[in-house]
Amino acid sequence: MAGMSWDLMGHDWAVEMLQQHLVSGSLRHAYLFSGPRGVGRRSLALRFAQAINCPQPTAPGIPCGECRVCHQIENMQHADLNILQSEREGDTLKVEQVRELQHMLSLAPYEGGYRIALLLRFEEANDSAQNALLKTLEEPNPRVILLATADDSENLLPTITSRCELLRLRPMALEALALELQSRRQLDPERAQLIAHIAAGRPGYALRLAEDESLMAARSAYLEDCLKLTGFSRLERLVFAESLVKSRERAEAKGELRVELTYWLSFWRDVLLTSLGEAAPLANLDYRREIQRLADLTGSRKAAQIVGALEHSFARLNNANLQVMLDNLLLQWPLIRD
Amino acid sequence: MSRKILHVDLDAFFCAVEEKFDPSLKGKAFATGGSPEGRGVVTSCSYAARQHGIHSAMPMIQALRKYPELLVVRGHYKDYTDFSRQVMAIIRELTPLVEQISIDEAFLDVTDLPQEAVEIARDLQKKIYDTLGLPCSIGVASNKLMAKIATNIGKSRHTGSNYPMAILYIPPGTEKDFLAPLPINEMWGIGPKSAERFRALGIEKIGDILKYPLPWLQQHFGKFASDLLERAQGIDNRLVEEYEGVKSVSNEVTFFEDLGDRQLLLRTIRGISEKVGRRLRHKALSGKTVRVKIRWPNFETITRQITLPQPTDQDKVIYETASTLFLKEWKPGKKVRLIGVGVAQIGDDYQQLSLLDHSYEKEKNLLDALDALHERFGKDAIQKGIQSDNYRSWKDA
Amino acid sequence: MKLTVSQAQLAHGLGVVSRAVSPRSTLPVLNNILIATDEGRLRLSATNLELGITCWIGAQIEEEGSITIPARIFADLVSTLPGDKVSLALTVRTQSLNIRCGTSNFDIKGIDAQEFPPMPIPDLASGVELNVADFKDMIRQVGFAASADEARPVLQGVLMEINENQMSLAATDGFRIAVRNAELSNAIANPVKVIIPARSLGELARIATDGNETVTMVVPQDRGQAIFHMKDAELVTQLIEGNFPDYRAILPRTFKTRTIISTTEFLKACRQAEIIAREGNYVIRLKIQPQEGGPGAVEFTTQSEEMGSGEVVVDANIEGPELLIAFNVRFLSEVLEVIGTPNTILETNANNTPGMLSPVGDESYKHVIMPMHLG
Repeated sequence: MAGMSWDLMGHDWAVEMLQQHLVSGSLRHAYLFSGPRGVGRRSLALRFAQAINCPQPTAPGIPCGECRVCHQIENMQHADLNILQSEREGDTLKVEQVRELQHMLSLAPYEGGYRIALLLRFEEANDSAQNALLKTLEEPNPRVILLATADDSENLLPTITSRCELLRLRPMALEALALELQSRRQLDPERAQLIAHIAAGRPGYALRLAEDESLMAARSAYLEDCLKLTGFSRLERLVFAESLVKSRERAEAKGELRVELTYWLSFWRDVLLTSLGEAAPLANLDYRREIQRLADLTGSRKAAQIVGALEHSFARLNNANLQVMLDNLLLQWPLIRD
Repeated sequence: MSRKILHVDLDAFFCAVEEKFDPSLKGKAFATGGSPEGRGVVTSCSYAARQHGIHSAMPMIQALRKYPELLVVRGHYKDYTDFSRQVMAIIRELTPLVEQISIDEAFLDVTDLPQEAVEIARDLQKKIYDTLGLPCSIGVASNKLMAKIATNIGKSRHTGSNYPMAILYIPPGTEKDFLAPLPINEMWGIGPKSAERFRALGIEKIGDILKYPLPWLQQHFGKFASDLLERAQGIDNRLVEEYEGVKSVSNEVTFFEDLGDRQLLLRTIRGISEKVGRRLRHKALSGKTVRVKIRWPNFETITRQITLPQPTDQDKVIYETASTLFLKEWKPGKKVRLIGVGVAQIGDDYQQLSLLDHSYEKEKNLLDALDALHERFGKDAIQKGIQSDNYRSWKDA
Repeated sequence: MKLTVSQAQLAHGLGVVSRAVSPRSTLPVLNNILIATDEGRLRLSATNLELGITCWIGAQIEEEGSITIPARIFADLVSTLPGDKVSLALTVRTQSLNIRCGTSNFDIKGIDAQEFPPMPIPDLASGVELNVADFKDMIRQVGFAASADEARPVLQGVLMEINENQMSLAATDGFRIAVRNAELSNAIANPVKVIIPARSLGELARIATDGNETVTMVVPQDRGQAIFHMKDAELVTQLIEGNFPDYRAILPRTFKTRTIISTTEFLKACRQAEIIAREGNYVIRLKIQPQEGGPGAVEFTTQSEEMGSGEVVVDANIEGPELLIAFNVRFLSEVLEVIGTPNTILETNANNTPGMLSPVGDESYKHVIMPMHLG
């Protein structure tokens, strides 16, 4: 299978298309890989970059994966791989950073292949930054290729997306992902299934969960918090909210909060779906009993309300006063006294 | 129809300012200027000091000799400049047709204001005194020459040690008779040295000039002779013009009857914009700020302005900007007494020209500016039309 | 790797190559200097992926090898070393370098030399030999006219063209162009047309001391790089991709007014005017006034609303109609400082068309400046 030779999980159709472009000598100047976080956009882009620049491919369009170039690209440390991303997830990408990139893009590739610009989470670029990039998209240098990732092409200026080859990456079927995890990471079927569910079919995310025990441990802790809160009094909730924010440095607090909110959101979405009697698969398989219980006790309206509140908090994570936002959020948590 | 020209001249300006900061100086003989040790001169002296024969430009040592109790006050030039600006600002509220000729003197052309010139002068004098505490004298006449002479004569007729605050009016048609008995050095432009020359030729009074034929005058005074002849009769057709570096170019129209018709109002604005544009282009100037002045029937006056990204001299841009500003302030049917359109922030603005062709960028910037304007204020229908002058009177500035 | 070198030479070499170390680099290895044994000498290299500098110094080599060491730390350390002889020894397993001098003993952790971006090895036989002093002069006369504006990357470079034995350098920022032509002692086989980042040429001018009489320039086919090789140092630069404006079409061919004026007087007038002009928009006005049957004059005026005004009059030899034209005073000063002859020719047409300055009696240098204009 062509997809297997790039050693990626899922997106076979995308791999085939990219290989075809490369092999037939009709590479586009810019590609946009869109899809939810963790679905594997960056992995695909990096593999593509390797295929383009590997000096000793095993077959046309298939990078060897072993040479210095392939290694450096994999580690995002190659001389001709120019990376552009906001400093931290959730920050804005600004014009000055785009200018720095454009400076490098004006120079001939260092190693004589292609110069590849990797624009990650490009939806974080503000309008000026996107407009600044337009010039590069309109008058590209022949030896430059732009690879951009974004959560949704709708979140970018149409003038940008119209100039890119768009590849919409979708999550895998859960069973297929679980099988991949079993074979690639030697996970037992139950664990593989759980991770596939938590990742909701997103291979990148699933791999991270499979490889890093601490991520799963953190998840457990966050979900325990989520459940604990339903039993907390108003005062206890405010104390808890304070503890989340006060002890840490602001940037660090934001990052951790983002992760914690992500898990809470996935949990309450499960509750909502269950309360509506939806047949959709749960993300948090290992918590299905608690999810069922809460669905029964809170009802769909309340569950929907909390999901809404969580999504709202997410959107405002960068601008709001964290403390105030959290206080408001936690006060909306249902109170369940046993 | 004769013009109404005012010459405003602050009384002992520096001294008046010093008195504001140190009221104890009031009524005393003092002078501003350099120190006697430093060989300074008197830049201004109070009317009390003038009683002792002290005048400006006199060396301070000499002044002290004339009156040893003279108080010497160090000059505060920054303050003088500030106050001068404030005075000029008050004057400019009346009309944009102001020609400032020194830190404390300016000409105004108030021909288009409805009131009597003397009345305007009195109101202005009061306003400057009430607002800033600075006394001034005003000469009122039908041209600059006479207005300035009027101020000088007005001030000189005052005796005593307080400020003159004179107002002297020379009615149109009386200029020649007014000038005839005056000594030759009262003529503006004839200083002590030139006056000597005149006297040597037997000309003692201004009226004496008229006794001689033109060829004779030309023989002795060359090409200035014909000017001289006119001046001696009180004729002076020079316009009141902004002197240094045109700060703004504007036109105003006062309606004979207050106007509330949208079409006519916009047509007027278009006409004014075209005039302003033409004047700018004629002087090879362009400006970044477009201003609109609206006066309502109750005489309440507002000005609104917007600064464009690029300077302009184009009728279209001026009109679109001005009409947009106007329509923001105007409601259908609301009557208007006066509309003015002006362009300010005029270059003396040298722009670096480009070697490589970027003309399309400039055009684009201009269009962008217009688009941005429309976006901000909303698109309004723009009407073209022929102009007719029977419902309004023009004023250029 | 095991060797000894002279402290002084090592310090000097580190100083030279450190200029290519980028202060904020995305790749950790770019913060480091590559140290490698190379045919009996010690090679020091640094690169920021746009510009790379290499320096060779003499060494007593016991064992071959290579490593990269953090530039700042290494340079600072070496400069403080007491003695004359420095011993360097690499422990491959830990990738750390031991530095010993007198009683000083340091161990610094480094990054594997394999991670360092590969530096090209030039085929010197295919290169062009340039006289260092002449080439530095050319760079001095042209480099400053390049643009600093990121929005037009192509203009940040200097266009170099070589055909047979004719070489030219040209740079422009969209408001002025500097062009310098020169004749090479030998013709080259393949024509060269490349855009070299102005900064790289500037660095080359710094490191090419006059002790090196020639520098060999190699432009490998289709590699997008140019290599400048001297006996003890080498500079590699990426080339800028894109189309340089056709400046020959922009250089005016005829002029109405020709003014010959003393370079020092002209420059002095500009410097004086700049004192006032710098408070405003750097405008200096030149009133070029020819005189029937005698020397004309150029009146330089400047004014600023805040500061005041100034004027200077300088005698000049003027042919053609009078003209009032305004320029950015800095553009004038910059070219007058490098024009090199006691007298300068200023040729003009109208007050909104380009003016050209060139050295008297020297056809090889032309500098065209677009004027400033009202409105």
